Amino acid sequence: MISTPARGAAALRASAQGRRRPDFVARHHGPFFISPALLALIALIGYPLIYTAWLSVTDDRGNYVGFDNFNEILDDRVTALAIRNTIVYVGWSVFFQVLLGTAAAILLNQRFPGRGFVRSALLVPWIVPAIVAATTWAWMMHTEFGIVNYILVEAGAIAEPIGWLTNRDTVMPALIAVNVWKMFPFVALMVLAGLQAVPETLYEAARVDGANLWQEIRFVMLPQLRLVLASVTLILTIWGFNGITIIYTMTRGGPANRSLITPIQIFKQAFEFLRFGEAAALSVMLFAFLALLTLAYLRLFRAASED
Amino acid sequence: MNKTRRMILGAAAVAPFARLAAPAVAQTQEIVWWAPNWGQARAEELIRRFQAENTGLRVKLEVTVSDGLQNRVLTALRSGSPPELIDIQSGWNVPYAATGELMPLDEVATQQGIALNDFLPAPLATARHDGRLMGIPYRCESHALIYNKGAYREAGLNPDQPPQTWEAWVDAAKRLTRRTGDGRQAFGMGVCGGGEVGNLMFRCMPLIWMNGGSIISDDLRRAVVNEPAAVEAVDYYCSFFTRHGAAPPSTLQNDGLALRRLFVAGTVAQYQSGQFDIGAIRNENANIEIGVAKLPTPPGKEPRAVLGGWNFVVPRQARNREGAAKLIGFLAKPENMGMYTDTFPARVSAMELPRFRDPILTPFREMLPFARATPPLASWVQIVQLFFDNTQRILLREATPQDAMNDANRAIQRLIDR
Repeated sequence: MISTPARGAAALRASAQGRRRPDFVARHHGPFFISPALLALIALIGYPLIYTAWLSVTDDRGNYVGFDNFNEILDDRVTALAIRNTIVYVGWSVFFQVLLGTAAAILLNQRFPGRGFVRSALLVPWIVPAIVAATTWAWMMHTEFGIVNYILVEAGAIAEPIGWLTNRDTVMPALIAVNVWKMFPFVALMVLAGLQAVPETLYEAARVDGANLWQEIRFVMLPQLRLVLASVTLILTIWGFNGITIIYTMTRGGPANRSLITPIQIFKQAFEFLRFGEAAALSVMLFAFLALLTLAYLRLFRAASED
Repeated sequence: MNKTRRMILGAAAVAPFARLAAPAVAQTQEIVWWAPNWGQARAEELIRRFQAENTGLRVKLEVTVSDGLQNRVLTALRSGSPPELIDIQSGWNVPYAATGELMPLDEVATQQGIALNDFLPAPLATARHDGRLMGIPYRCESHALIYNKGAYREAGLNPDQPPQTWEAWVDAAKRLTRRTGDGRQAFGMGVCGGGEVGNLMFRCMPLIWMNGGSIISDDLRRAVVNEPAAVEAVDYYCSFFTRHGAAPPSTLQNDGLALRRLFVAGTVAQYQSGQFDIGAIRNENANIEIGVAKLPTPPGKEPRAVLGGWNFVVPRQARNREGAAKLIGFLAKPENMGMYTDTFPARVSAMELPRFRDPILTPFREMLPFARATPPLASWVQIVQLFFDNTQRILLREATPQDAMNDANRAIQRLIDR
């Protein structure tokens, strides 16, 4: 039998626990509720990451080989060429995607008849699956059967068919053009959303001060869009560095590696040459680069937000 | 009421386990077979016959397409739950075997009574790795010269006397490069300079071999593609495009399939390919009078060809390997192999079947004794890519044949030395 003071102490403990429990739940219910998603994330992202890192320092039989795979892949002449091509492809693609997308968004922010239809139609390139778009463009740009050459020859613009995808000088611009066509609607969509959040009063105030259209864009619109444009640029850059569909479908990196980009090199090393260690080494380096890029962006984003 | 409730609850509790158990039972009886689309109808017929003979087994056919198949098979082999039987191109057999994901089939051949001495030696060699049998060849073929007899006549050439030497081949290609009656530009030769990477090697390596060169030395230790005989042959092949203008401007986009389309369209008048193209050409343009000849050679030399073909393989992690062995034993019978193959069968006795007596197949059959398998190297796919990249540099006119092959040789040697 429990004595009265003991019963009193137990009641006090229970009461204290009773008070603490809601505090504990209140403090930790967030992590508790996100734990299933967190576990799924670890399984789906953490495991492949760790496994790739492990592959990058092991040979085919799973023996630890240090940085041998990194040395092998960096010694390959094709690696430097692929990095150069990647920078050119991603750099020019993002530049034109942002430029064209912003221009399209500014245009679509104006009032004109049929605006709803044009806004919807603009999204078509972005909605079409990349593999379908790339295959279609590959046929359109085919030297012999392509409609691009057919139209240009028939119109007398060129005397002979041009090998858009087989000429060393035209292959990269052609691929960049397709990539820009595919992704600029995404930029337009994002920028348009950003534009609609800019208060009309800012423009009115600028007009009262005598600002012309260019000055409105330069001093009112673009500063308000800074964060949207920064986010979109980062996303496009990451997608650009990771995307292989357009180039792999249209040229497979050819001719003579003129359009080979790093993600395609990784794909070929792994799934065509079965050199998983070297593919993993290149993947780790690309991941590190993109991680740095993202960190730099986050710092910029924070600084801009604090402003 | 309570009893009913308990039964429902009990059934609900057991149901997930029953679902888990059900496939396990079915898998012991089921054989999943990945077969290419070109043989689908014949595969279905063979499955019907096999299931009639083996009532306890059910074959599930999954049809594959050539594009991306190499990666798909590799992914399946490493997935832990691959199909029981896969048809693969013979050139992939050794690289796959080197990954350790294929089951050795020496014992299966013995158990199933597959007479290996009835197989042509070259196809059988494509299935051997480290002295073990890692696949069963069932289809083999080699290229010959396919030409348009009508175009020959238009160009003033005798369609019954196709070129036999390299010199005559270039002359014919130059004469066949012309404006046709309807004003279209036609070309004398289809050069494979793009698309599927492996297609170029299939067309160029025979020329290197017949000129006395090679890509790799016979002991597989030395890259020799920059030696004069090889460089001369590569230069010869590229010259149809680079010097003679006898190949279409799309050459750097053209693989085997594209060349067939150009031949069907009347844009190219000659190209190298296998007998599998004959049926397709007839279907797509019945007006073309097809000629087939053995590949032309340098003076006094023998023709050569790369042996192409398909093998059956069984993944190491296949669940129903016993069923797969039975199916392989059935498919490897001469009459079944002879029916299933799209080109020639890998067994000598199957070659006697009536379907292989069509006269148009004669030059292809005559090329078979001159066909060699590609070197049995795990890095062969990478070597093919290096050769392709450097040959494209010649076609782009950004490197001389000697410089391009020197670069290819260095990179290939690095691979061999690893």
